[in-house]
Amino acid sequence: MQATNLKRKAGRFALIGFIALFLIVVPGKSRSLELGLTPSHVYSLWSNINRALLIYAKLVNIDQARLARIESMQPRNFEAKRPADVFAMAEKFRNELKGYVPWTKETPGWLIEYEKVGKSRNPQSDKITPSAVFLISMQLLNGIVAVVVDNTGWEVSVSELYDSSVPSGMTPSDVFGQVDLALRRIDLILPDPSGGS
Amino acid sequence: MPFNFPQIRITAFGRGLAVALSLVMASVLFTSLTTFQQGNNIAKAWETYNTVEARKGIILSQLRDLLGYDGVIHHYKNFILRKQRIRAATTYERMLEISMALTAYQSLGLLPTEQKAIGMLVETLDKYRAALKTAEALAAQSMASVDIDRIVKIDDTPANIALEILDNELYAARQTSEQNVRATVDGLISFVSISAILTGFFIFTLLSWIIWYVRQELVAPLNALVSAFHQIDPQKPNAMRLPRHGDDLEYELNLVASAGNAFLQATEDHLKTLEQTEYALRKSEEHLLSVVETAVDAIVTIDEHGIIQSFNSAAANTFNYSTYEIIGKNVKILMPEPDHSKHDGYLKAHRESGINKIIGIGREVVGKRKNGDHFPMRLAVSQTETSGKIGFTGIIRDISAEKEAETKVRLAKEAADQANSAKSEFLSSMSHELRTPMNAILGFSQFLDNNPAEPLSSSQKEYVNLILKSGEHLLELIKQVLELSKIEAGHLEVTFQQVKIEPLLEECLHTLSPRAGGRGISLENSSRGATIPQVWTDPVRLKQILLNLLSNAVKYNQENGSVAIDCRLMGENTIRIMVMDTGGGIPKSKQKGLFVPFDRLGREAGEIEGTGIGLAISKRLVTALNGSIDFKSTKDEGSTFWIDLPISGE
Repeated sequence: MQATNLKRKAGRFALIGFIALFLIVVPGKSRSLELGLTPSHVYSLWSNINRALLIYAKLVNIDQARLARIESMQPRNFEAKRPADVFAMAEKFRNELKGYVPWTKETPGWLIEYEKVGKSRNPQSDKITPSAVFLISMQLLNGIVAVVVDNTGWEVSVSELYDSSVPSGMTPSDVFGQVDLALRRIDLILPDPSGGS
Repeated sequence: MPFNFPQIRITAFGRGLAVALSLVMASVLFTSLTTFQQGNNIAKAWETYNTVEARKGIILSQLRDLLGYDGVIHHYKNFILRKQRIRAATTYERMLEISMALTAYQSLGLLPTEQKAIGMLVETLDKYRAALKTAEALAAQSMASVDIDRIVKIDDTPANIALEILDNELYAARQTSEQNVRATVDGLISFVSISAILTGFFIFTLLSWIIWYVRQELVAPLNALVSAFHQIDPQKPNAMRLPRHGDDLEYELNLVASAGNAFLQATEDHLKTLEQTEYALRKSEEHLLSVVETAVDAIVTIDEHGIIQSFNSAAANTFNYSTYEIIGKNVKILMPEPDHSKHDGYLKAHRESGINKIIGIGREVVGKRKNGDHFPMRLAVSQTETSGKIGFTGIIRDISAEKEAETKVRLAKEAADQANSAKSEFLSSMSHELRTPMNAILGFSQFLDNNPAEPLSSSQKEYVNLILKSGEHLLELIKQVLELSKIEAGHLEVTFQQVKIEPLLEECLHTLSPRAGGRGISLENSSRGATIPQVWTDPVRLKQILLNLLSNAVKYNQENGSVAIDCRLMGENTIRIMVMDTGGGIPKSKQKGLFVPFDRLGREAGEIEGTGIGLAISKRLVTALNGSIDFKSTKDEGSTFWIDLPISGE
């Protein structure tokens, strides 16, 4: 009986040792871009984008009725959206405006360096974080503002398009609502590909 | 004497060795795990150094760029001086990027001084943001750049101080991380070194102990055992006792020694048994050789190719070869032609087919002596198989003397048969020649006795009667001699047919009744009325036999006695006919010559007439009828004669 217990203890000890060794030796899963930014930061950017779109709508000579519709649009409510869903919508937005807005798609060089340092860090990771959504959102805002600035005068305040206030407690679903609003507005702003109005 | 090896169990040495090896393994495992752990600590420290501090360095460097040339301050100044709205947008872009970088910096963890520096940077950026908004409003009102610049002038010193603080903190953090990594590496090196030294010392001690133990406890006693084994006397193995090492009887080498001693004891016992068996075998062999050597018959053994392997004294005497000169020769040297030439072929055929027609069969062959003489011999051959090799043993008897005696007997018999035949021929001829004149004597004697013309005187009549009686006796004698001679000459004719026994018996009794009546002897047929089967026999000869037996029963009976005849079945195919009288019986001493011709059992001088041939003739006739005759007799009570005959001829 004692010999059996001794064997069991030895087996348990060996198993624990093996697991510990495995955890020590095997590296953890790589992490994606994580800068500490939150959905609230992203929400702030998309508020600015929607504001810039209203100005952009006036620049493309659409009729007043459509402009009124665009101005009256409100964000819809969504639930259980993830940063990845927001990122996909942002990319869709970018594609919609392709040809109209010159995008600067390159990731800043320092961010690439930032992600390279340290082992087991992979900037091409598949996990979409709020920081990644912030990055693409910031580029979209800069692109639209650049077009607006090029085509307007002092009557348009650039500072108004870069409102830095950050609301608190925003979720990816809230951000998704802002992106959705921007996409719906773009649908009305941009000419119909079939030639209709 | 069988013995079992004891079970060898794990020794203290084995257990100690196992424990020591387990300790070594545990020590190595502990060292390895500890080394891994320390390595992991070093990796973590290095990662901290390589990631946190490195990232902070990258962000810090980027902050300088974002604030400096092509940064916030640069574009802010350009906007004020040139009133280009795109410069304001670019300024805001840089501010956004700075906000992002500061957030990232904060996410890496901040010391209080760093927190303070970050706050100073944020505060400066807020000032620029507010100033830019004001400047844009003033520019929209077409205010001169110089005026705007004077109104929204910003002191960026706090930002530079903040960057300096962050630089200093980062440098200090790097120094700390490097020291931590170095200290951890140094600790690991010390641990591994001490562990290696301790483990090496332990292994060295263990190996030393193993070597000492093996030399002391294994090699030395093994050498003693080997030495003892070398000194074992093969003839007396048990005289050597294998040495034990110490007092521990359970020690394996002591178990080996015990087992070896038991083996030696068993071997010696076995040798003694073998010696006794060998002695018995030798005695048996000597006895066997003695038997063979002293055998009356010649005994020769050969191998399957016919080469003589042994040759006993009788063989040497028979063939006149000495043993030493015949051993190794081919056995055909002892055979005359044609066996001499054919014998190798016989053996070859036997080797190929396995069939030998002479094995186990005694037969007469011709042998050849050394001088070339041939002689008859009786040969019996048997096959032997020894150690897988086929051999043959021939037992030979010189039958020259037997053959010679046989020849003499045969010649004597032939001569006797010839003489007997001549005798029978003589008797037959003589009987025939005697009967003719005897008939004349009897005829004329009767004529003299019964001639009324010349009647005889009483004395003459008495003489004539004597002549007649003697003549009739002589005639009967001649008749029976003639009959016997016919039988012995092989001229007896027998004619078999189905015969009814009962009428035959009645006829015989009727024939004898006058003679029996003359003496007052009664005749009785006891089988009268019984069912008697027909018999396949010669009725004339059977009647002759029965008449002879009945005649004797009457002749040798007492006055007023009785004679009975009976018949009964003896089994399925035999019938017995018995003739019983009430005569004086036959003395035992005389019974032996009852069926011998002319032997009247001492009654030759008696009053009862007889030839002494009747029973002899009867016996021969019964034999001719495929039957048998016998009798029993009791003195003063009478005799019973019987004949047994087969019922059918099959």
